[in-house]
Amino acid sequence: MELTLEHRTEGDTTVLDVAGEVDVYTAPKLREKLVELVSDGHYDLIVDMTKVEFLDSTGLGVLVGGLKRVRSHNGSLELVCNQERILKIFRITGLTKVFPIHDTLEEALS
Amino acid sequence: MYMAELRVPRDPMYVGLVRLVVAQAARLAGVPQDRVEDVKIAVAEALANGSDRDDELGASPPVEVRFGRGTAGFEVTVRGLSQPPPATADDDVVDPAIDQLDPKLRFTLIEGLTDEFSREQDGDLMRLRFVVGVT
Repeated sequence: MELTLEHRTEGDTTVLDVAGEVDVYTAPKLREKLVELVSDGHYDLIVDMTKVEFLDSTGLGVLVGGLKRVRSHNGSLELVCNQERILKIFRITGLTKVFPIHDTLEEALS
Repeated sequence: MYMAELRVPRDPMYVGLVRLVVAQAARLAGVPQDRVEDVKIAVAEALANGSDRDDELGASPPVEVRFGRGTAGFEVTVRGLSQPPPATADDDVVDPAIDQLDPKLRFTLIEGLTDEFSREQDGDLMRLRFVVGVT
């Protein structure tokens, strides 16, 4: 499956919808998108991973890189994820302590 | 007991293909569906190890992937070039807490997702082996 990325603005927050597989082959595309958003002044991001089918450590690294970028501008990066198989990866790597992770987009926006 | 073998170029574009093939073999071998997802991630991590080396792709040997039902469960062995996993971000660290991320993240994931995991370094080559139980 391909990786698709679409963003939109919700108030002061930018929501990035990620769908498909984020792996060593497709992760550069996600990195480019995050770099582009931060370069364009989007410093408060919500990455909606509800439609992510697969995520590996390369994808995690890109998300961490995105977090570092927005934090350098006093921004934030939060995640929406409710799939156990994806959450498991965050737990094993200890990244649940680094990223705020929400069950729903509504919860993340509130 | 049987083993199949794939030999693929050390190129990220083949990781998805191998992941699908090995996942299907795991299903056929009796690995429960939720653990098949673990196999997919572990395979992806094993193949990604070394896939981002700087040397030319064509100049390196292919990655060998052996998989199948063995005595301990569904076994996968990946042998290929390796290097320590890359830093998880490509810019300067701005938050010390984030910098505590385990640099051996790929191995941490494989170990956390599988029932047995071992790795052996032989010069530039690394052999990663993991096992997931079958029903």
